[in-house]
Amino acid sequence: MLARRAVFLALALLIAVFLTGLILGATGYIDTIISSIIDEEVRAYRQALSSSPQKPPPDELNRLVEQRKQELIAYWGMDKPWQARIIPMILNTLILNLGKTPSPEVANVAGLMPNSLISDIIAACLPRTIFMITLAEAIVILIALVVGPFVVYRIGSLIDRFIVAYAAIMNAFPIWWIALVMLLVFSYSFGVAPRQFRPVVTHINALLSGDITAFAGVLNYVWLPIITIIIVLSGPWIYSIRAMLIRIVKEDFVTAAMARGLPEKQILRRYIIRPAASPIVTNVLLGLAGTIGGYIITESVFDWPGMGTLYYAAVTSGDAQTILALTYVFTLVYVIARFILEVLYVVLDPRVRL
Amino acid sequence: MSVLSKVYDSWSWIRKEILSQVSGKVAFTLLIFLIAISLYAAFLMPPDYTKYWEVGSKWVDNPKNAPPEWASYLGYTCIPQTYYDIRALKPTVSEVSGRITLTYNITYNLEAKDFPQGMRLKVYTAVPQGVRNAKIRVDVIKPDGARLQAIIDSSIELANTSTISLTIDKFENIVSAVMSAYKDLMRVLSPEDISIFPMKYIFGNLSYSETLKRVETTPLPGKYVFLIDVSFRVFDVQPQDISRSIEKSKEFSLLITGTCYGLMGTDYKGRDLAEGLFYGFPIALTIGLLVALASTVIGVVAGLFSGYYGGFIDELIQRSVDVMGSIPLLPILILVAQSIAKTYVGEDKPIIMLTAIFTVLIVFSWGGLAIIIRSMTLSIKSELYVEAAKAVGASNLRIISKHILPQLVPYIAASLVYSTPNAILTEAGLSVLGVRHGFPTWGNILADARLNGTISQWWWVLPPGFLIALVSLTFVLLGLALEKVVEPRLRR
Repeated sequence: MLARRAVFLALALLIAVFLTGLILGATGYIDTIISSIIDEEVRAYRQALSSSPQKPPPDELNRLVEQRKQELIAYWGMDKPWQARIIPMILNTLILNLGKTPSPEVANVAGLMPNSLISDIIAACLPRTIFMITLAEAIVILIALVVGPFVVYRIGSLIDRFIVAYAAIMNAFPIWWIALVMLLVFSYSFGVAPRQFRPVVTHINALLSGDITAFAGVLNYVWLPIITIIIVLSGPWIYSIRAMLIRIVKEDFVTAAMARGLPEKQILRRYIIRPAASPIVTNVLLGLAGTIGGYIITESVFDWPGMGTLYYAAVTSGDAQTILALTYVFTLVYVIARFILEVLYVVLDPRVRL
Repeated sequence: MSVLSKVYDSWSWIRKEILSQVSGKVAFTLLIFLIAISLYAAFLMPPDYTKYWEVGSKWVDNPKNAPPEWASYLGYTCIPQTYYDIRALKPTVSEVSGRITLTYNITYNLEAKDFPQGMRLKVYTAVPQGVRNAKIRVDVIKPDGARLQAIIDSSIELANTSTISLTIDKFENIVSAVMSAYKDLMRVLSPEDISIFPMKYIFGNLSYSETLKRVETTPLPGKYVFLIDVSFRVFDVQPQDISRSIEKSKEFSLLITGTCYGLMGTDYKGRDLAEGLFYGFPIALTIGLLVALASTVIGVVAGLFSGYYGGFIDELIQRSVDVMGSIPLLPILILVAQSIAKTYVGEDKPIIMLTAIFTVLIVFSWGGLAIIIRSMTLSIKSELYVEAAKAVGASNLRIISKHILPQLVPYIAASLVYSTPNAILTEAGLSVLGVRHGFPTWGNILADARLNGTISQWWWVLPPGFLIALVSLTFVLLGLALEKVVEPRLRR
């Protein structure tokens, strides 16, 4: 059973990467990007030749330029169909042989020099996303795990109704819109939060290299995005935890336990949390795994130099290798989380057998 | 009982259940409001609305980047748009040696401490035969007594034509007009600054700052008198003929462009955002419902097949759902949209891009419903009455449509409602990110704001997102109410 799941998850991973490659190739996107790079280089070469002191005669110049163009076409593989270029890239991605990025924008998001190794760039951006999005989601989950059981005993009370209404409203508002409002209020009207979030890079780098004092600097940037995410996501999260618990609270064995007069805490721990554990763990794990690549728009609104902004920079600059690598990473994290879940189900629920 | 009446029964039951809840009532009210406003907007929508919005000649006169008029309550200095229809005014007419001159006198009261964004004089009129040439000249007498002479001074030869068509919003003569009105400042005035910012000099108080070593302009509220002279060199034409043709002209107006506009303000092109938001209603609802409908239909069909027939089809559908659930949707959507944005050229690019985005969305979003429908189908299939129906030789199609489908209606409705905001949110999210499709949706207004505006232009950035949230709130509340209807059955 587990092996079968593993096969299908691996298949999903392969499909995700191949699908990305297919989109890049079949729409002609990478060809357009490479053609414009070649045109630009040929133009620069012609410019350099014709402004040099030993300017060749026109015929010779055209010949040299044409020769240079052919070299470039051969170098970028434009003389072959797109499949011949994309498939080696996909294979390299799968064995994590990523190479260097041709795109200065992508390197810029990471705060690295152009032509940096893609693996270095991802390694630089990953902690920034973890420090902001994953951390925020973890806080939200903690809040939901505390508040959810609290309201489940008070279904229909004022606080419960407030939570349901809040969840409904926050489910409707996209995070990026609340992020815009938060920026408008705290960064522009009150000026208590930064307007530019890119400088967080230096603080996070310092923190990662062991300088504890840099924490204050990180906090200065990170509080607004984190509070934004908490405001938006806590409603739906509490609601879903509540919904999972409600189903169990209404089961006969819980009613029986209550009738026996067991203390609330004991009922919660023994009779409610245990059967609710597998759906809750599923939500928590998949939620956390989704933070790595799932908040591209929110990161972009804050101009937060994490994985989402990196992905968008790779897409806009047409950096196929980075796009493939990031798709691979996003899917890999998710697939691993799902596999861990499969193992956990066996541990959590004795009814599930290998 | 026919299938339709079964579906109708189940619908009226759902409606009753929904209306018995507070969230259901709110959702219903909102929904009716949304549908009404959408129908109204769809009815009024100009033909070829994309073009109307993108290159509308209507926007030219509007102030650019202007907050709404009610922003004055929020502390914005607001100058309203002021339009004078000169045709309706009584001119003083004079005739001197073959030149008939009509002089109009307009008093403009500047109340706020700010400069108007611009000024435009527009003439579109026919003149009687025998008019050889026309001259238009505008003088401004400022509240401080200074007289800016001939800030507009144009002359039109009418040898071959008998219509005047003229729009003046640049003031070529402004430098000399200001220089001669403020002789004492002549040496320190900057001609460049005057020609770049004429409004500061027409509507401003000029003073020389010793510390900055240049002339400072501050808004000068008060009464401004515009003297508009229109004179005609005529041959055998009576003054009243001239007056009459001006009264009958298509347009003869002076517009002082304000700094605030309408109910919702304007964007960087001067487009009326209230209009864009209004026409966005039917577009958003259509997009949302179409995509939700498509993914719901696919989900229901796949789920029914999977549950009813089982075997290889079931395995195939279940594994596909599984695999798709592991592929990150948003990155794929961004990639598809951006690839098409960069490679597709053609008039219909907005539609092609939206179709591609929504196709990907539909392909990836039917899985959840399919799984629910499958498990329900499995349990209904093993009921005795289905067995009985099979035994008397009912066809598969009959069993599905008569016994299974009607029971699934609440779930299908809930799923349809819950997934309606999906497409609207996705489209808006991609637009906010910067992937432009160009179709005039709310998301497109947001994309414009992110690209050509700043976040502090709240009247431009916030309302589209708020409306998106309102639509999605309507469907979330409706979904919540439906969920309570569905819940007792879900709990077996």
